[in-house]
Amino acid sequence: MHAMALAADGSKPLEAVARAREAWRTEVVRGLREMRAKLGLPWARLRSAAELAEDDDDRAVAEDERLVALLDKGLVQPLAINALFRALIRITNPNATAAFTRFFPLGLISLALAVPSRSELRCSWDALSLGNKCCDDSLAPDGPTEWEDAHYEAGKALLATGDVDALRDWARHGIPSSLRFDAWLALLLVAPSHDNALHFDALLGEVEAWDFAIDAPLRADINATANDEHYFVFLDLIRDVALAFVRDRTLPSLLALPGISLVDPSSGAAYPPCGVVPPEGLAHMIAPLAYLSSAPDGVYSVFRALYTRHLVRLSALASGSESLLTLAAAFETWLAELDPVLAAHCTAIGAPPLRAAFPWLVRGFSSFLPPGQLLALWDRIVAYDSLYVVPALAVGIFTLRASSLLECASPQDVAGVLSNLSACFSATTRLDH
Amino acid sequence: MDSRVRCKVDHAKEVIVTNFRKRRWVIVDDDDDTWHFYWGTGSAARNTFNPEIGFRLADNQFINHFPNHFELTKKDLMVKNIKRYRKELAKEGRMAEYEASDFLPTTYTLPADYHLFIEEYKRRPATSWIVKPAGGSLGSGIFIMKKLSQLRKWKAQKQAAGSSVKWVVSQYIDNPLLIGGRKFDLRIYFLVLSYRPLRVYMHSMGFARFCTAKYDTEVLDPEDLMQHLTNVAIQKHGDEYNSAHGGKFSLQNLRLFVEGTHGRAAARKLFADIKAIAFHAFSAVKNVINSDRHCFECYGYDVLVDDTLKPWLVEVNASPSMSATTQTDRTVKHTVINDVINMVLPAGFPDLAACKLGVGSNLDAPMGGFELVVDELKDAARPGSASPRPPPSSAAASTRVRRARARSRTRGSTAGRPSSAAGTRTPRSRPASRTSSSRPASRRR
Ligand SMILES: Nc1ncnc2c1ncn2[C@@H]1O[C@H](COP(=O)(O)OP(=O)(O)OP(=O)(O)O)[C@@H](O)[C@H]1O
Repeated sequence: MHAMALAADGSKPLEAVARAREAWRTEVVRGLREMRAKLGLPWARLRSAAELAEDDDDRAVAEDERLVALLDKGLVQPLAINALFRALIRITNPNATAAFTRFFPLGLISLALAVPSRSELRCSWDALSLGNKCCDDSLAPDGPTEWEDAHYEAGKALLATGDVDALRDWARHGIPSSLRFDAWLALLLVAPSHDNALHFDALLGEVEAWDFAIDAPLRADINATANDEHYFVFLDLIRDVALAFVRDRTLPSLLALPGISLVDPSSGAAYPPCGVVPPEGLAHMIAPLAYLSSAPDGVYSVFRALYTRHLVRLSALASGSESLLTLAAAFETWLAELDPVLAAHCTAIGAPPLRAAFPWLVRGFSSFLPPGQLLALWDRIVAYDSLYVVPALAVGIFTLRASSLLECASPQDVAGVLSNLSACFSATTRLDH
Repeated sequence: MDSRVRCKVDHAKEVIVTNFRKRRWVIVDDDDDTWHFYWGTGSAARNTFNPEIGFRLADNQFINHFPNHFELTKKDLMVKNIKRYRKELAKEGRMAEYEASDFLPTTYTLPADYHLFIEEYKRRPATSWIVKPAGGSLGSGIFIMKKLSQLRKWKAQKQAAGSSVKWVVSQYIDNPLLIGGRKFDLRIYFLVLSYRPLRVYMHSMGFARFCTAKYDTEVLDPEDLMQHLTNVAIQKHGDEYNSAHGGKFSLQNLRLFVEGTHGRAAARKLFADIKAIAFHAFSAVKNVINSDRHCFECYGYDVLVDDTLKPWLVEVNASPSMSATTQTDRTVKHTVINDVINMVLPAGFPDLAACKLGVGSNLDAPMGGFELVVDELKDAARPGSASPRPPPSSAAASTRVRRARARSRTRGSTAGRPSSAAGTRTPRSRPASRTSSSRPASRRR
């Protein structure tokens, strides 16, 4: 159960949202079909015995070459962040009340959505200011403090008892890197079992046997992590987890919000089998988990749980609590409350805050923060069982950089000020909201 | 006269020059000796102190090398000095320190120790060896060998060519810790402000350098240097070299990874052991180096970590590369140099009177990314401490080492077995990998 669920009337799917969602679905599906037409491949194709006999490396090279050729032809990302952004701001609500418009005239989301107030979400803000003591200590010169040692020992003891509620209370003060894997599994309610390993092995078997049309955009995404200084060493792991993910038939029933997929009318089966078209940036969401464990099936189990419970919401157009829509609305509302002058200034120079914050939200900041900070942020998602900490950080970054932002005269200036966020996280976590 | 700081640099390395410019220092010509601050090559420093030149440094002149740093930075001399140091430790019965300083792969100097090496070679038939020029760098002239015939052939060639160059042959560490299936080594910066008393700091912005080719754990292919040598100079020429990150990975990330995959105690021990390596290596040469108060030195340590998380010292560089291959690399090197300059300069520099106390006399200097390894000055000042050593870090490290060794013995590894008097290490069988298994259950048990 989400700790910060909205009031009942706010979580009812509004009609406008339902319409927008349907339009978006049509667009994604059309994109998928176009992509497949360009590829000239079936949706799924069983590899021939001859292909399978080829050397792994040779096949990887061949696949990369094919991908480059496709990219040259202008391969489409079926679920690109920019398209999602356009779809989001297209949503209009004819019934917007005068009161609402007066209260918040400048936001891009022209829909009266019930967003939890900052005081209701005190804990989201607390989540950012609490517990950073033990998360950013990686190379602390003086070594861990007594508090950190005690916190670590307490966590270890709780993990041994299996008391999830107590563990959650503990985790709200931060999770030491060395307990993160076990703590996340416990908090995401993944039962440790040999079946997880078997399941992953079976999926890798399908990766080997089946060539999917949807692998192409996914591979482009995976290859981008090969250029990332934080993740290039984990390329093989990221590739295995991503390709296994789209083939996982057990996912659709686990998704917290329905994803967009094709449905085979005869069998009712979804394509891709995971029930959700992977959003641009999926590989970068997997990548940070490479720091949790070097066992690929362990990483897969954590990612599967984290994605179905939380991350899927980040690219979902839905009116339910904690969808992309409500998170974006929360960002705009909170920023306008906290610093209306800043929000108005950015909007006036053609750089509405949500435009800059949107990629942060959709990706849950993955690829925008170095891994240590990103994992510390995601610790809070897992511990509080809520995504509101993501827009809370986005607002924190804007207020932290407010003085520079107020001097900006163009969207390019704003992009420049917000281009490197690595110094923001620790500063934001110390802000007292 | 212009009261601005005058500085000099041998190779106009961008990160050094930008640091000087940021401080509004005036860069003087190559033949100008009126500098206050000199970032030069090792040989430039030697010339500066050459008695024949008869040039004496003024109180407000500072240079980035000790005149005889080669006692530590030439491969053969480093080995000689550390072996001697360890012999002394053993004689004095300081066994904890003796064990904690066992971080050099067994090494012999060629041609002088050729026969000693042959004996050792015969004792350890399973070991592979790596042969390097004693004064070389950038991975040039290095080869890996398993069969003695290779070395004989090579020796004959050298003799035929009349070469008098010294070489070293070292035990090849064939069980490196792999991440993503690749070998890496660490480049870590240590700043020495003085040798007597010993004052050493470690910078947090070190990095790992990865091979582009995967490491073959089944058979050792001595020809494929792309999987064995981590030098950027070598890796740059590989097909897979990626110029976006240059195969470099931050020390912070490495620590995060080790904490996540090997646990908190293991990560702590690894980093304490790395500090201990620097402490012992510097201690080994502190009495032979001319500790001059005009000098400081920022060394680049090359450290290899094996799959039991034991760090090995490969080499110490007196002039670690300051050319930057990527944007991050530029930031790292710029920051290191900036922090070095802050730590080094006396308060009031370049005023002559203010500089009397020499390098590192500003005890309030901002440390930036540096953290303390040892400061005998402070240790001596502390009430009740008669002898300035061992420093806190090494004492703590050696107890940790002992504890970890006890642990590693129970895992069936022989890594912690005390080695023979010459500081050699018996070849050990590869322990079953603890982390790369595909069963997470094993990790959770
Ligand atoms: N004993 C060893 N066992 C395993 N690998 C080694 C060993 N010694 C060296 N290497 C590998 O070979 C590389 C080159 O060695 P080394 O640094 O001694 O040579 P170099 O030519 O002096 O390089 P540079 O001065 O540019 O660092 C190291 O970076 C390391 O990857």
